[in-house]
Amino acid sequence: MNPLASLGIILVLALLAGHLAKFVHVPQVTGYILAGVAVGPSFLGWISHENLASLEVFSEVALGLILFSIGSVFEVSRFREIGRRAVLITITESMLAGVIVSVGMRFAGQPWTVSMLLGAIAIETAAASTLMVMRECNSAGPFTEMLTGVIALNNICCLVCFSLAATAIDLSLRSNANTGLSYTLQESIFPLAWQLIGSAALGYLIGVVFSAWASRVNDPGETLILMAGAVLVCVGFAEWLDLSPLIASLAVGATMANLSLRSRRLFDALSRTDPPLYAIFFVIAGADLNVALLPSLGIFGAIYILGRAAGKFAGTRYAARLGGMKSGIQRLLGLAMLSQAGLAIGLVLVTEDRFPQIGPTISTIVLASVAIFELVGPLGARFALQKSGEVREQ
Amino acid sequence: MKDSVDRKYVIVLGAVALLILVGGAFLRPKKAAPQPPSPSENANLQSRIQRDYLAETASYLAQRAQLVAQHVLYDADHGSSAVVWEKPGQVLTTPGSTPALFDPPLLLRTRESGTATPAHAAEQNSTGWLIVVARTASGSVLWTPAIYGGTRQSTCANAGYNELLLNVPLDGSLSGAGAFDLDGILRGIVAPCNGTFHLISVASVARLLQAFNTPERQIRAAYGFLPSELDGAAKRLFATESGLFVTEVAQDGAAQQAGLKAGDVILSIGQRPVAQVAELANALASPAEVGRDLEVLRNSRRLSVTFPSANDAAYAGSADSTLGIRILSPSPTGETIVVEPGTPAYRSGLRTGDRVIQVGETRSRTLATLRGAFTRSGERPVLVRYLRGASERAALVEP
Repeated sequence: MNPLASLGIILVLALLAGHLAKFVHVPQVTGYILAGVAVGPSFLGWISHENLASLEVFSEVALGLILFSIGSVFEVSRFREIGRRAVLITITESMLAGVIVSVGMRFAGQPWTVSMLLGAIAIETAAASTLMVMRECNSAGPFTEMLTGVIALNNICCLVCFSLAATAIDLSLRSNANTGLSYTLQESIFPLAWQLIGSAALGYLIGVVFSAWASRVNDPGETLILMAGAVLVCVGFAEWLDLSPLIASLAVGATMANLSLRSRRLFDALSRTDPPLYAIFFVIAGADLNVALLPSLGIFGAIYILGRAAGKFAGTRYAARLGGMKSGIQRLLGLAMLSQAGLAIGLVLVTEDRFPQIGPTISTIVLASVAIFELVGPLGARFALQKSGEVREQ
Repeated sequence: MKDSVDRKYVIVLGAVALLILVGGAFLRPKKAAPQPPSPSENANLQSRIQRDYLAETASYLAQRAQLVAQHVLYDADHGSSAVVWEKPGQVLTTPGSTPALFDPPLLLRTRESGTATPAHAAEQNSTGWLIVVARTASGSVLWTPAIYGGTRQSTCANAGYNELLLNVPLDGSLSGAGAFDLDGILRGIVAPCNGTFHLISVASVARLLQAFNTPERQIRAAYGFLPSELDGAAKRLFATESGLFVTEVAQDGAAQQAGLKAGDVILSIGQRPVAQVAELANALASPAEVGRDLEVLRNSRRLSVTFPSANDAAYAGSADSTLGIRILSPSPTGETIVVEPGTPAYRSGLRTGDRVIQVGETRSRTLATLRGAFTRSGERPVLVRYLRGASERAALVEP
């Protein structure tokens, strides 16, 4: 099928799946993903791997938009309220999930390199599907606010941990190879610093420029063009400079939220027009899920899934109690953070590229687990939001 | 901009960010250029690519061969392949699968078959791929890809033709095979000629068939003998004004069964004297029941030979072949001779390898006796009977 027809089918299917999902009271995101699984190479094959590859640009833009929206949580006035506790919760749940998975893998017999990388990847919570569920539920309140903040920080935390783990593995491999230490450090640590600081710098610059421009734009159509331009420029330049489009988008969102007088209006303008893009994003994500991998999960898959879930539950609960938050947030936050997709898959690709010898092991475990988390996660998030009492169904 | 934001900080921070970006972009490790493969890897890769390419080519050729094979049949009568010619039911075949001295090398037969006619093309001088396709007795397809490099002029059974030069040897298993180009167009027929197999171009095939369609060859096809007209010296020798000299009688042909022998002179048919081969051919081809009695001069005596009708005379397993030749085991009789080109014997049709069995009145198997007979004939024309391939032939050698 040609890419345009694929795109059309994806949109129509997403609409149908969304209706169906509403009917059976599951999140639309789950409907989209299931529709994607159905038409993807795993089952019907209407959308081939070639189609998926040609539609990848939509995924990148959609992910950029999502992180851009999440970035608005870092508006100083908003973040001041949740900041300290959000950081605490993020660090606790991330570390706990990562450590449990790593230790479990090591005990189950995986080499320490694989264990560490899997632990780092396990930290990630999918920003996109969680945010979409929040939007669908039109939720607002302290729980939603905290969840948004934690997810934004969680992705940064995951990237940092993965980079550190990869650096450690690099160092151990290089020390065997007798190359100069300075060279090794530059090769190993530079990517981490570059991805974090460089991405933030790029996001900030773009944010500043577009905020200044936004104050001179009043027409809603032009506003939309401006915002789409900002996101595309950000994602495009980030990829060109080997930066993280994720963090850069987050930084653009944060910068514009803080600098622009009309930041709310800007973000609203975007959120009215991006549903087709998100629908495409999730159907593609579903089609990309390799369901055939599920039987290969085995003991390592079980450790990954259970260890990660346990870490998220226990970490959020403990940290929320420590931060003196309501018991509702304590109990529900972990459930809302089960989704896993985008960044985790991206890190698998990085692993395969950087450590080809252990890439396949990690890829099988993570991709199979992602298939489960991506289906269960939105359900958990929706349930948690409903229980928190912050859902305002339209 | 929000009022709470100090523009100075925004700008300073922006400058710092720009500095970071520019510096980082310069400092970031360049993506390693893909390592050029080592010579051994390269060779490996090259050979794999080539192998894949060749395998693809081979499978393509096999597919083409199976496609054009529908135009090729097996001719059980001659043990060779037969190619459908011009219209369904008409096949072109060769007299056999051993490269004996066949004359002519091609036979046109009718045969019940539902296969489609391959497209015929005009002579082409370009070079390219050909697929030579034959069929075996079991019905399986025998084929070989070949490259033809051009054409050359050759002669076969005294008729000129264009031979397509191939890079593969042709043998008896391919006798009668068709050579098709990659478009499925018939380019040539493999036929025995001068002791080996050659690829005769399609345009030449048509010409050869026309050349073979002479009265002499019609008679030879139907009755198994070859007449030739008498010249002045022959008329004097046989003391007759008209008549046809029998130069060849095929074994097991209708003529031999009727009692005709090489060296006979046919004086008349059905009381009508004959002086030209065409007259004899017409008389033999006429449906009349009468008039098949031949008056024949043999060793100065007049004999009568009665021919069967044309339909009954058919032999060699094909009712309608322009010429049928039976393959026989090599005759053990007669001494082989060497004939120098340009000599009277050469002019009268004798060739190196023929086995002479009679000179004048002398019948013998030994060369010495025959040489004596030659010597005795002096300056007069002398009748020579000889064996060539499957035929007994006769020639008047005039000094």
